[in-house]
Amino acid sequence: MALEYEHANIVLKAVQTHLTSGTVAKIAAVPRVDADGEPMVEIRVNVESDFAKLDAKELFMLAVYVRDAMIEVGDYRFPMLRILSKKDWVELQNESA
Amino acid sequence: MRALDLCQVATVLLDSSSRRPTQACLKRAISSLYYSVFHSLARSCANSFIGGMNAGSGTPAWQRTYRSLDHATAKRASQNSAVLASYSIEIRAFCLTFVRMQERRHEADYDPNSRFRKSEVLADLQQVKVAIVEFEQCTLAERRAFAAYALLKARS
Repeated sequence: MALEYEHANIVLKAVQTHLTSGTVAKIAAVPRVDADGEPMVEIRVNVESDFAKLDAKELFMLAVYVRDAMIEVGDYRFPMLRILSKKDWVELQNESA
Repeated sequence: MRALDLCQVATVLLDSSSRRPTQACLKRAISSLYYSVFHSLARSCANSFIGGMNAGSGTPAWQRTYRSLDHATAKRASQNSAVLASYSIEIRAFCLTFVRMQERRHEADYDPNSRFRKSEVLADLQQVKVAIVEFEQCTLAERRAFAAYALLKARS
């Protein structure tokens, strides 16, 4: 879906801009609903770096930047960020395929 | 028990095996991380309304305020981007961490088919620890305002 793709790109830009301690290789946006049935989007971020070296405060603030970027384009779904290592990302994507 | 003690429990669970932690360990770690954020907020509400150390903590009024924090109400409050726009970025990031970890706890505790990866739970652990520390460093006035918003119903 074109709109979904566009929003995933916006999210990717927001993540790449603000997560400076690790290289963000890929991102996947998967629409889903939360436990209350509200629409949300699961955002899988593949970080190609040593997890111990990621800046904890950058990770903590990331959700705000992603949320703001999505709201700016009219997407009010909750962004469910999943920060994954390359190995775990590949496994998860294979399982979802 | 302090909120960060529950983060320590998550750390122990993540380090429980020299190989991959089991799904049971990952799920219990996620649950502990959510409760660490929840108890941090509950304590903040009680401290800012009734008083912290040497003031009101441990009194029935403090306990009642602590216990009055409701999971669903706090989630709704933490998702309202229009209201939260007037708060600091630390409070907003704390709120998003709260919502995210509550959702992940639901998956971990109630969806038998859910699976988690160690790397993502490690990232959660890092974020939750910062969320609690940053939240506790916000001004009393802001934490009190947020406590009123998260605990009390608005009448139209």
